[in-house]
Formats: sequence, C-alpha cells, structure tokens
Amino acid sequence: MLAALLAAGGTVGLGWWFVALVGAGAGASSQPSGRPGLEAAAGSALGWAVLLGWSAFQGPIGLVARRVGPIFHLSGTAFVALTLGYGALLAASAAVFVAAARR
Amino acid sequence: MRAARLVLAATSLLALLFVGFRDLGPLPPLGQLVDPYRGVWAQARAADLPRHRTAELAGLEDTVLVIYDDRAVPHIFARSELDAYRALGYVVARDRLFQLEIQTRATAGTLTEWLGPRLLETDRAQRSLGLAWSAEREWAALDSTTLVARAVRAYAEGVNAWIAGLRRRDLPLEYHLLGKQPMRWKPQYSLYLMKRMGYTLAFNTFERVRERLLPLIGDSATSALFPIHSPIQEPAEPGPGPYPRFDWRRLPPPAPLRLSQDGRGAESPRLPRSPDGETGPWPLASLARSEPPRPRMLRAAPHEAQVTRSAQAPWMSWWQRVPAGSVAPGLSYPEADDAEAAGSPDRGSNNWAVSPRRTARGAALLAGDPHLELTLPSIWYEVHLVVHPRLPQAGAGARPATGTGPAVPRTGTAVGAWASDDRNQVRPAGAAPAGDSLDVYGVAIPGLPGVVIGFNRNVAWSFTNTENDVLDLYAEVLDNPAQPERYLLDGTWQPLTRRLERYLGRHGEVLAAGTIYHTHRGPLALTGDRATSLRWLVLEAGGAEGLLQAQHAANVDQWLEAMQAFKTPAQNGVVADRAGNIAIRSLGAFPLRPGDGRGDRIRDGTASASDWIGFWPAARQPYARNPAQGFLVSANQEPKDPRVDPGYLRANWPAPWRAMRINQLLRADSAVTVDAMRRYQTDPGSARADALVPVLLRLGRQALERGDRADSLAIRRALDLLGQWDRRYTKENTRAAFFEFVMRELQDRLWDELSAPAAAGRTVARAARVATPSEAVLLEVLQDSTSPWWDDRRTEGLREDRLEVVARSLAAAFARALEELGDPADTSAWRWSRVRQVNIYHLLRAPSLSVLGLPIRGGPSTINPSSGDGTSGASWRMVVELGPEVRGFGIYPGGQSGNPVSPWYADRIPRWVEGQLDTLRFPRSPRELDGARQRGRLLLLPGRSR
Repeated sequence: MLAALLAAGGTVGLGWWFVALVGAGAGASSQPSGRPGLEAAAGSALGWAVLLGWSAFQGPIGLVARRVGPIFHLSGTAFVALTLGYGALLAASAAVFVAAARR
Repeated sequence: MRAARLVLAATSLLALLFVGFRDLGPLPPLGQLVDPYRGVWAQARAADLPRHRTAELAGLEDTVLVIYDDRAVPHIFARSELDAYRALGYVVARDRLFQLEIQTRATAGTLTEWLGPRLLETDRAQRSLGLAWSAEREWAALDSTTLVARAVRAYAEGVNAWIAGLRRRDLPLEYHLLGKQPMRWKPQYSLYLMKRMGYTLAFNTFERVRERLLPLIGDSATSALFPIHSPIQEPAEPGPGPYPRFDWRRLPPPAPLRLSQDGRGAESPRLPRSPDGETGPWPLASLARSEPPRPRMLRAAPHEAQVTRSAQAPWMSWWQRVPAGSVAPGLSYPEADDAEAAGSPDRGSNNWAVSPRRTARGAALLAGDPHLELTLPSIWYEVHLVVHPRLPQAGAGARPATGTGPAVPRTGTAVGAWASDDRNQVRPAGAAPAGDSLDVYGVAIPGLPGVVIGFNRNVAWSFTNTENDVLDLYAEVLDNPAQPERYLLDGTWQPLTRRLERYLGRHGEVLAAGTIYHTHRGPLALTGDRATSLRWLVLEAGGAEGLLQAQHAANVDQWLEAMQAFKTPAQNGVVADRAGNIAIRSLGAFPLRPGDGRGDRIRDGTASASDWIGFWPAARQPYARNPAQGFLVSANQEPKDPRVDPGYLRANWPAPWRAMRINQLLRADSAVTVDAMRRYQTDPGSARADALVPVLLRLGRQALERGDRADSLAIRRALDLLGQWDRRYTKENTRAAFFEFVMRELQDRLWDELSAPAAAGRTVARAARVATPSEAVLLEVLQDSTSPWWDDRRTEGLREDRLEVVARSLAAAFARALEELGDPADTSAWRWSRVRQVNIYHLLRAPSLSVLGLPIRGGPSTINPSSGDGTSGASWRMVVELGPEVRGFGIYPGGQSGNPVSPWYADRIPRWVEGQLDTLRFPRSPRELDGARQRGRLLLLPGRSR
C-alpha cells in the first residue's frame, strides 16, 4: 500500500519515472525471503490505477482508452493494461535489480 | 543465478527507461505517453470547458470576459478590438492548438520536423511553391499600424499566452502521440494561413492539363471541350436572361493523335512532357498522383477499407499510412490542379440572399454553405466578438485610464459592468461604424483573427469561391538548366534570385537542402531541360484587411466597400442587410492578360510582353444589387454572362447545376422562410439529373427501336432502372446509384480521345483520362447526333454513333451495377446511403479519432454535393434572417474542441447529417447567457509577459 501511495504521489509530483524509484526502494528494503518485484509491481499498478480512477471522476477515461488504444492497434482495455503494465514492469525491474545487487 | 538475475533486471530496467524517455521511430516516448497524470490520460481532465476560470494574458489592455454558451461557442466581451483578438487567439489555442500548428507546418513545409522524412517531398513541394516565403515577405513589408498587422500581433499574443501557461498534462493529445512540444506562434503565421486559403481555393494549373491534351485532340478541340465560357449559363450576376440558357455549339472534331516516339506532343514542340505528364516540383506533382486509380465504380465504405489496411500494419501504422498530401487536409487539394476535378460535380459552395418582398416575414434572408474538405477538428471555429469601447459605468476597483482606453473595472466588476451595458449599443441599419465597436458572430479560421463568414447586428454575408484563374505558367529559357543563374527576357539575360531551403528531421537533423529559383514572375519549376515559372496572385496579395473591416459594416454598401481590399482568393460575396438590401460581388483581383487575354495556355516567358497588364477595374467585376428577380445566387458558376462581358476569367467552368437548382427553388417560392432556406441547403433534387436523365431515356429507347441487339435485355433493364428514379439523392434512394454508373460509363466511352496513349485500349478509360470536360459539354454533345466525338477511336474500322454509345453505356452500367451492388431487387445494397458516405477524418487520419461512414443526403451536383471519397462537403451551413432582430442559424460537421475526448469534439455531426441547423445565440450582453445557456466562463486579465 505504501508503494502504491508513493507511486501515485511521486508520479503526480515528479513524473512517471518515479515508479522506478519506488521499485528501487522496495528492492532495497526487501527481506531475503521477500518478493520485491511482485510487491513493487503491484504497488505501482495500484498507484497508477488510483490516478486513472481519480481522472475518471473528472473526465471520460474510457473514451481516452477507446480513442487512443486503436492508434496502437490495441483495444481500450488493452491500452489501460499497457499503462498499468508498463508502470508495474518498470517498478518490478528496478526492485529486482536493486534487490539482486544488494545480496 | 544472482548475476543472471542482475543482468536481466538491469537490461529490462534500462530498456523500459529507454522506451519511456525516447521515441522509437513513430512510437512516442512510452513513459510520457502512458503517464497517468501527465500523459494522454490527462485529456480526460481537459475535456470540458472551464467553468469559472481567471487567467492572465500578456498584452491585454483591459479585462476581457469570455462566456461559453451551451454549444461551447465563446462569446468574447472586450473593450477594444485588439483585446477581442487577443482573447480569440487564447480561446482558439485552448481548443485547437494542434490544428493551428499542423496547418502552419503544412503551409511552411516543415512537416518533416514532426513526421520524418517520408513527408520530405510534400515539404519540398510546399516550399517550392513559396506560400510561407511570400507570407514572410508580406509581413516584412506590412505597415505595422495597419489593422491587419495589429490584429495578427494581438492574436499571436493570445495564442502564446495560452502556450506559455501549458503544462505537460495540458498538451493536446496529438502532441503526446508525436512526442513534441508546441511551437511559439508568430504573428505572420496568420498570413501563412491566408496563403493556405489561397492555395486551397485558387491553385489551378489548367495550363498543364491543356498541354497534355493538345497532342491528343489538338488545339481547337481542346478549346471547345474546355471552353472559357460555360455552355449553360445561370450567372451569379443576373444578365439579360432568361436563365438557365443553353448556348449549344457544334464541337469541332478531335485532331488526329499526334505523338512522337519520345512522347512529345507535335503541337507543343518546345514544351516537352514527361511520360507521366505533370512533373513540376509544385504540390500538384506529388499530390495529384497520390490517389490510385479506382478499380471500382463506386467505392467501398472507407471505414471498411481502413480496417483492412489497419490489419496489415503494426503499431503506429496510421502514421506511415498518412498520404503525403493528406496531412492537414484543406491544404491538400490535389484536385485543384486537375481539370477533371475542376469540372467535378462532387463539390462546391453555395450562397444566396432573398429580398424582403420574397420572404414570408418581410426580412431579407441569407444562406451560405462553403464546401471544403471536412476534418476533425473542423476548419471553422465559431465565435461571437463583442467590442464596446465605452463602459457606461466603471465599478469599484477601476484603475486609472490608460492611453488606450477608458477607466476599466478589474476582476469581479467586469461582468456587472457588461451586464449593465444592455441594448443601447445597437446601431440602426445604415449607420456608420461607431469607432472601435464590434458585434459580430460567425465562423473564424483557427489562426486568423476575426470572423470570416457570419453576421453582425445589421449585415450578414457568406462566400463562394469565384474560381477565376489567378495563376499563369511561363516557359522560361535558362542559361544552364543544370545550374541556372540567369533567364532570358526580351533578349537579355536576367539574374535569377534564389532561396536556400533546409529540411529538418524529427530531432533537428538536416534531411536535405535545396535551392528554389525565382524569376520576376515567381518560383521556377525545373524538370529536365524544361523550366516553367509561375505567376500566382496568392504569392503577391492578401485580403485579411478587407475581412477585418467588413465585420464592422452597417449595411450592404459599407460591406462591399470594405471588401474592396480583399484581393485573393477571389470570392463571390453575397451580403444582405437589415434595411432589406441584398447584393453580390465577385471580390478580388482579376488579372488582365495581353493578347487574347486568356490564361489557360503556358505563355512565352522570354518576353515581358507576356506578363499581366493589370487587373479588371472594380466596376467590371461581377456585381448585382437588389435585382428585379428578388434574389441572388452563387454556386461557383461562371459569375457573369459572357453576353454581358466575354472577358476571360478561367477555362473549363463546372456545369452550373447547383446554381440552376437553387434558382429553380427560389423562383418557385415567393414566401421564403428560414426553414425553407435550411431545407434548400440539403435539397436532394438534381438539376443535373433533370437535364440528363430524360435525354438518356429517349436515346436509349431509340437505340432499342433501331433493331435487335445482343445487349437489348440489359439496355431494357437499364432503362427501367433509370426510369424508376425520381431524380433525388435521398439517403434511402435505390436508383440514384445507377445513374452514376451510367454517367461513368458514358463518359468513358464518349471521351475516349482524352485518354493518354499508354492507356489506349484499356477498359477502364477513366483512370487514364487526362481530363474530363464539364457535364455541360457532355449535355451539349448529347444534343448532337452527328458529333464526331461519338466515334470510339479504340475500335478501328467501326464508326460508333450517339445511339450506339448511349446503348453500350446503359448496358455496361447495368452489368457493372449488378457486379458491384448485386440484384436491383435487393434494395439495401442499392441505397444511396450505402453507396455514398461522408468521412470526416482527423487531421492525422487516425481512424479512431475520425468519424467515418456517415450517410449523406445529396449527390454529385446537388446543392449538398457529396464527394466520391466522402471527405469534402458543407463545412459550415448558415441561414440568417435580417429582421428587427437578427436571427442566425448554423452548424458545421464537428465541434468546437480539438480534444478528441471532449463532448464538444464531434457533437454537431449527427445534426449536420440530418440537415438541421442550431440556433445561434447572439446575446447583446453576458446577462443573456446566464443559467442553462452558459457552460463556462473565463475572465482574462491584463498580465505580465512571460
């Protein structure tokens, strides 16, 4: 949950790349038995989903997906998945990298 | 294991960061794109209008109030005209920033900086033509105290104020897709767009088409088939009449085919042609060839074709598929060069005005519907500008008067002050403009200050394109065609002027460089050993001053006087006022040429005697005021009866079918209403069909009576289908499509002589036809049973006659219709709405941002003509009643916002398709826009420069 909060807040405050820092933080603070990649990915995806949800209160997010997705030959749903997946992968990669480097 | 995980994670992380920050080919930086706060998702938060917002605008003299009504139209209340233009620039940038930039880039030839090297040839063509170059020259020479200079500067301040306040999350969607930032708006970009209008409406190089025709049919036949006066007369300026008048001629026979082995026309030995004909570097070369021949008579629904193409291409394939000439449509008018299109029944604009004595409510009525390429967002932006220089009361918070205006209330008081301004600013009809005041409603072109088509409290106006020839080509002789420095003029060598053009890529890299040469006439096209210079009025003159001044007119005469400053592209301006006057004038400059005065041939560039010798005096230009008939109509027809003035305006006039139909409707209606005007704008009736169908039926029956034929059954079925048609292009009509099959087959057979030699003998002759004469000429030939044009050159030893050609055309049309549409009894496939559809593409042609496959009421040459590919049509429909209170009604196919997820992006399209008009709110004060009529409010305050 903390990762999600950080991902959302950092993205608003600094930019999309902040999820990589969130992931790195998760990797750095992870226990040897932990799964930092998964935690970071879930936190990042959740944080970004919260941002999308917040935007949905202010405007037609679904329409954005339906208009923009096909430009990339994706359905609207797939474009949402791409968004959340990209943030998740970025955070997970950073988390795994830092965790592996630390051990 | 740990090392592998480390490497894998590092690689993954680096790759994700790389694609997050950097674009990969056409793919924008992914991280920036999908950023849920600043990326494309932010479009959703910017979809609606500002409810209550205050912003600073550098350069503003006083507070400006902008109220968005329930149609998202901004009503701008300002205290000076320049402030109104500042605010207009601001709100247009808010709604249409991407459109502003892409149309400017398209004009300037800098699309490669956005879209990469595949647009290089398009950019080259634009720069060769010199639109931006001429706009820069005009700007440099412009007196800075003129209204135009001050207005475009003010407008730029407004645009730049919006840009300066932009955060990444405010960027329009297209900037996210392209991974680009908006450029700063320069005042001269408004002049670029005036030039762009000129290109759209006045770029006609019929000389080149004519040149390609000469070897095929000879000079006299070319002149007869593409005459300088229409064989059917229904002029905009009513002449001696009665109209329509049919001036039938007997056409001379085609000259024998005369081509040498290298493809040069024997009749034009010093003007060599390439095998493809058109070869100049001007836009026509790259654009006119972009359209592949149509294998089918009637096109498949474009949205289906889009799906097919989309499936073939990965990722941002729409970008790769953007036709070179189709970015920022409206600029890309390949047809402008094509004589076939010039006579095409597929497009055209209309305007007309009716005197009070022929209207039901005793007030003058005016209608206008300019037809242009339809895009999303639309070429038009609807706006209401209200300028009152004197406030009756300045409330608390007023600051001292500046040198430019009276005491001004600050924030919070402006609204009340405006509200108290009430109705006392209205001038009676006939009064002179009161200084700086303005109260004008209509459509503006994004990028240009002021209303182009619209109305004020006293006058309404609209335009159609005059279509006159303001472009001539000259064959030049150069000292060294490979590296020219001089050109021959009157026996002496004159230096060529040059300009160096550099073309940059997406990352600022230099893609190419080139030199454009100019003679004293204009830019030079170099093709092999041939040099052709171009003199084009659009590169020399503008017209913005006239448009700006005309907004102030209090009556017809003032409007006409103001528009005298308008030079190009020439327009038929129809105007009406509250005093009941109506008038029409072909506005603009009309070149006078030496010799026979014609401009449809390439002239000898080595003699200065070939140059223009002046312009028509204003008194000679087509004009009428309060005619006895009680109405005035223009629809791109030849504006002046040649019996009144046989002077050359252009060659190959389109048949005046739309003008005939509008005149027919108005002659039959002595009590015209607003609603009737609205209905006429989408009237499905066809003067073209009314003229041609009876002739075809008669000739077809005669052919059958002449004796048994192998194709008799097909001809009978064809005649049945044609006879069943009510000659209306309604959406549900199931026989209109067949008439189009017949026309296509008939033209293919009749005009076989006009096909390029390489295509001789081909079945689908149209694909290779150099040009197609106007249908007025077709009707003319149909009157003549012994015309030599009925013989088909491709059938050696046979001599076809009129009945034979008509019979074959009917039979072939029936076969083609069965092939493409199936059994005529299955009416669903034959419905006009299935055959012709409107396709309104987004400026980048992305299908998901476009609205495609709309049914349309109207066909070729109806008042609401539909184009073959469905991309052009009525870009704005307006009806104005000039009674005690001016009432305006209008619509355009799109919406005010350029944001594809805004509710105002395409909201008007369903009503436009149905032929409905919206009531245009024309408040005298902000108070009239209170409550449900108000959707947003923006207060602009004088601010600091950034």
